[in-house]
Amino acid sequence: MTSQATGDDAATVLRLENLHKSYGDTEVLRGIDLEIVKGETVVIIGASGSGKSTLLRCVNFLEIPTSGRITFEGTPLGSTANGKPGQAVYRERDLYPLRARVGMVFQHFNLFPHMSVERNVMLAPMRVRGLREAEARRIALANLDHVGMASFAKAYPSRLSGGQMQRVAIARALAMEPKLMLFDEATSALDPELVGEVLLVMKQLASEGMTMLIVTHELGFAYNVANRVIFLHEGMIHEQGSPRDVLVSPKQARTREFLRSHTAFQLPHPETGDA
Amino acid sequence: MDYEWNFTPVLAAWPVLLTGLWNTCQLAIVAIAGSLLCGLVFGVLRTVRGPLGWIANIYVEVFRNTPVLVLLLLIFYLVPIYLGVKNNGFLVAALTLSLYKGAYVAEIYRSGIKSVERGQWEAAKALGLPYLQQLRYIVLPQAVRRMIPAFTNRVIETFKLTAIASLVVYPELMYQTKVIAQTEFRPIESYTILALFFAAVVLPMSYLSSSLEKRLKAAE
Repeated sequence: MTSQATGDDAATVLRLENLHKSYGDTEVLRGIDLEIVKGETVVIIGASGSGKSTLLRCVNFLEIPTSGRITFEGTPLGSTANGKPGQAVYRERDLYPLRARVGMVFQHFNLFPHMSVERNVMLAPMRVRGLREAEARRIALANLDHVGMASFAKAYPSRLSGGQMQRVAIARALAMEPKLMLFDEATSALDPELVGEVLLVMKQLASEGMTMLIVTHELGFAYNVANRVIFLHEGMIHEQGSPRDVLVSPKQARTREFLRSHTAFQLPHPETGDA
Repeated sequence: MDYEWNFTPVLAAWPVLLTGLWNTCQLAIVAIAGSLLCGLVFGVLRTVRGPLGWIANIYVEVFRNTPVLVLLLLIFYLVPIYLGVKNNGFLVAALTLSLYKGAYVAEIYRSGIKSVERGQWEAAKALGLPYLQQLRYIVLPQAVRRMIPAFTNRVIETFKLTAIASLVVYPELMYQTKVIAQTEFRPIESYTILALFFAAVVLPMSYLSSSLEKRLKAAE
């Protein structure tokens, strides 16, 4: 890992140090150290219950970490003045600006059903960034166009397919011009034939240099798009490295076991016939 | 059973009844608005953790579990002392009904807010919207839609409850009817007219409410 060496490098978007999260007696995250640099696409894999989603949700404080340090764009979050060392106190008010700069895409899209597609995307630019309606609409349409959904601007979410909804959700997050995008199993709730269109949008974002932290079960996507793959096991980073290292020749037995269970059945390659 | 019904003297006093109807409507509108506002504030507070939530809890429990007549008389004696307003039946009745019905409306708001999926809060939160904006732009618009049938029932109840204002000498329909009943010595006819009056107003409201409910169900 290069995390400590880079220090406060301007290229570091997010740094997590010794992050812990417990629910009562259950420790979900047990000391996560992670650093993400600008433009990097990091994919987190792991069994359910390994803490993947919790980790992601701690980054924008949908879950408040029990202890540890989160530094976003060089600014440590929370105040340690009143708390014990390493146990920051977070005031909800201080977290709003962070959330405005971190985009999140959810498994179940969570579009606002009472608003048109366009309004879904315009809301935060208007209310959080304080843009005028015309400017917000321009940004909304540009972002909808980016995900191929501009022609649905006036439609309501209930009219859309899951894949379309998720693309709108991505546009909604992008409209805030985030410095980091979080994807929490963005394709897990989709019918298989709709997964591709969402993954393609995500791949496009990665190629445009968006910094992304992605929780996914799509190992093929991870292999092709990620700069780094992290295998999370029992709330700790068990193994990480290039997609080839982690997904093709993993060093840890746990990782191999996880990958085996995920690739139990394979179609043969159409040309070579290899499974 | 040889009572002779005679509505003539009661109907002849129609201006008295009309004044009563006008006063009832004024009280009803203020009380309904007051209870919706009260309910909104305390309903929202009931969904938050901490001391404010507890206060809202106590409010709802106290006001829902006290007879409205007891509240009316209590407020009747409290208002002159704490608000310095004397002999104002309207204020006493409006305050009582707002607080009493507000406790029920608060429960409607609370369950409406709770019925909105957590993901909606989270999506709004993740976009950087502060709490009150999450509530205003995302949660309440969805919650209120689901609450409308329950609201209309409370509105009807509040309208009917305005009759208690007669006890604090506010000249609404009930009070005016009592006046007619006593001056004309025709209590049966007077209260029959009153009952018909209320039915005439409330029945269409109930009908509207149930058809609205059906339409909202169909729209979902």
